[in-house]
Amino acid sequence: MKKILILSILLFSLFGLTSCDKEEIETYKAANNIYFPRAVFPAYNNAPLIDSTGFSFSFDKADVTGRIYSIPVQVQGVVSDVDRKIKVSVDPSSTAVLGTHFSLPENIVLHAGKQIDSIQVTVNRTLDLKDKAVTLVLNLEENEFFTVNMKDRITNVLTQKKINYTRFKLTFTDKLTQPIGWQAVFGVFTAKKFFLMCELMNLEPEMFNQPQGSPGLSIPETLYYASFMKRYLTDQKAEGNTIYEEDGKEMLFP
Amino acid sequence: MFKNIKIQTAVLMLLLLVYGCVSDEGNYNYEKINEFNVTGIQKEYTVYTGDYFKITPELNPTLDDGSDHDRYEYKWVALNPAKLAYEARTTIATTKNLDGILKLPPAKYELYYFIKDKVTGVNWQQPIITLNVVSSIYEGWLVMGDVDGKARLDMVSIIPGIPQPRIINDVLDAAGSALKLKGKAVDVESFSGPLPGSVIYGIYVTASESGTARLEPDSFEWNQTMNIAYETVGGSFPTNFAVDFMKCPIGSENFLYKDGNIYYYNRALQIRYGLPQNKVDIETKTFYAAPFIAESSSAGTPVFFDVEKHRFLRYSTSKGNCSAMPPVTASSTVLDWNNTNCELVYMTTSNFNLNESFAVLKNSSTGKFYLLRFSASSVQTYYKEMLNAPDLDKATKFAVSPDAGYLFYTVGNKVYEYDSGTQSAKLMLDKGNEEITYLGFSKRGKKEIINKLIVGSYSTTGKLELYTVPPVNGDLILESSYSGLCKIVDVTYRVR
Repeated sequence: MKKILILSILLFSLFGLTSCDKEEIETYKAANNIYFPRAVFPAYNNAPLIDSTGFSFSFDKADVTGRIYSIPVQVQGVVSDVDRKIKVSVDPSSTAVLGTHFSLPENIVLHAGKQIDSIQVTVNRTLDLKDKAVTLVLNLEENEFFTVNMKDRITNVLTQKKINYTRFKLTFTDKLTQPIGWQAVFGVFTAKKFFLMCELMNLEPEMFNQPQGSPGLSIPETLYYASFMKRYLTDQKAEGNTIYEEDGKEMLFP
Repeated sequence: MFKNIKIQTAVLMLLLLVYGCVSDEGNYNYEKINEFNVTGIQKEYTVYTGDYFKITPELNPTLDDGSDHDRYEYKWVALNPAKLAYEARTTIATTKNLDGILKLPPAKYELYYFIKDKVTGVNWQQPIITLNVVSSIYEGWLVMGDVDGKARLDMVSIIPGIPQPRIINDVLDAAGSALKLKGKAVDVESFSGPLPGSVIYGIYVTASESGTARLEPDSFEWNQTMNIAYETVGGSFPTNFAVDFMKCPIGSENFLYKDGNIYYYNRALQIRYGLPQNKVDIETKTFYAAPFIAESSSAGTPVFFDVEKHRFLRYSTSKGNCSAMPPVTASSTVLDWNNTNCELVYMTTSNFNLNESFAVLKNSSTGKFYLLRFSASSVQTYYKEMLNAPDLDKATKFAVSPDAGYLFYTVGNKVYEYDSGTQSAKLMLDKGNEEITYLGFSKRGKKEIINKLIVGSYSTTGKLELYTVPPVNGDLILESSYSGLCKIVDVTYRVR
């Protein structure tokens, strides 16, 4: 009986000894790939994976002359303790003109200690954007710090549609288009009508970028907006201050 | 064998206990850090907006030799709790002293004073300071009335921290408002949540010709799109639509009454004034509603009265129409809701006994007066003939006290208090040569005013008086009196 006890204690201590071995853990040794992470990781929960996006200046106030748009970049590989330069080129297919529509920072770097960084693109609200949209296409290029072996992935085997990891498209415009929240009860969409409505009732233009039924765009709310505007136009007309659209026609709510 | 194991286990356990005797090598030498004992800040301030305002706090740090003048960072943050979280905070200064022109819009703010010690990295927050940023039209009684037959809005301006109230005649003109009242004075009402969105408080002024207009609550500014017609859906209201009266239960909902029609607004249910709500669900035409609404509480059922068919009807806010009252068996103490054979003389919901409603009825055949009381869920709690009430048939104005449930009524220059328990009325006030033009209780506002009987009287100018109503039919106690006003038609208290 006692023997069994002693033997088993010995045996277990032997097991214990095995853990006294020191082992080096393998670290990442392959190339450092640079890529646009929005095509790999969603920006928020259930967000779509994207290699292109866009925005419009049209709802911005008149004194807004540009925006700085940050495009995230990420490294697949090691984090370094020095700043590493990223080589970026503007694709020939880009319709946005460097220096006119946008400018890139002189030094695009992945900062020391960071895995994710961003390219700060300065986008200018130029006059010609009023009636057209332009697209900026950025390519990540290989340099002394990074490789670009992580190119793309086929998302649809039938059509061979790809999502790009090293190319990012940014489309922007200042053209005011009918927002999705615009309702039939408001009649034909015009910029003047839209902004007058927002100004009189203290509405945020951005609100109309949501589908019907969203906060502020329920059926009773939209009926109310139309009712308000109809009354306003009638009252203004009665006071001899008829409100016209840009094309000279009288502003109308059906 | 088992005995051995037991002993061994006990010895092992003892060994574990011994570990409790190991001396603890932790550091228990607590060091004092720099602390503040701030003085020179009051708990509450009242400042006029745009005025010079200074607070000079003494920090009295416990561990600071004063050698480093740049040791602390300061921040004064004003927070308006009535606003949405993202727009409630305003940083007004980042200096040690608050010193300069105060540019906050009038409101009751919570003022925070933060001190950051850059050496220790510790953030200090002082107790919250109440900061009343006021204008001369910040708070007080809004009095709607006539002067030479024309509507005028006066204000009894009551500023927190300033003992003497100020009477502002024609406050719209004094505040530079664009609103010019036309016609006779009709109604004034104020409540919170009058519109969805950023408008948090509404003051509605009604004159017979210029209509019902909403004022910007801090500046009394107005433009045409602030008329109540603009708050309606459907085009049937004229732009100068004037209500006969409006009645708001607690805020964020409201009833309008005009010529037998009742309209309803509810912010949470997204209901706007639109079609008349005085329609019975199984009938096709609207009924002519009596000019009284038992608006009930937010959880109860509002009750209307049909003038033609002499019946009570309960209103459903969600369905937007009325239905028959719950069935009851008529007796000497229970009134048949649907066949009252009575004219409605007066009806209101009071704060008495969990929002009980009171109705004064006059029997069409006998001419006798009855008092009916019913709960928020339309259960009759009292129905008896009104006895020993002098000149009740000549009464022009009524009000119900929230504490004791007394029914007050006026005849000419006299105010009577009717006690439904003793079934008798007592003469409480005789104003002599003054005519009583207004009688009421404020259902909303500060507790100082909420239980007071409000009497408006007129001889050469108007006078507004507030009385405490003591229990057991005790004599009224005059609390405040404001004279030099217009001939009072309606009053409301603009709360903060």
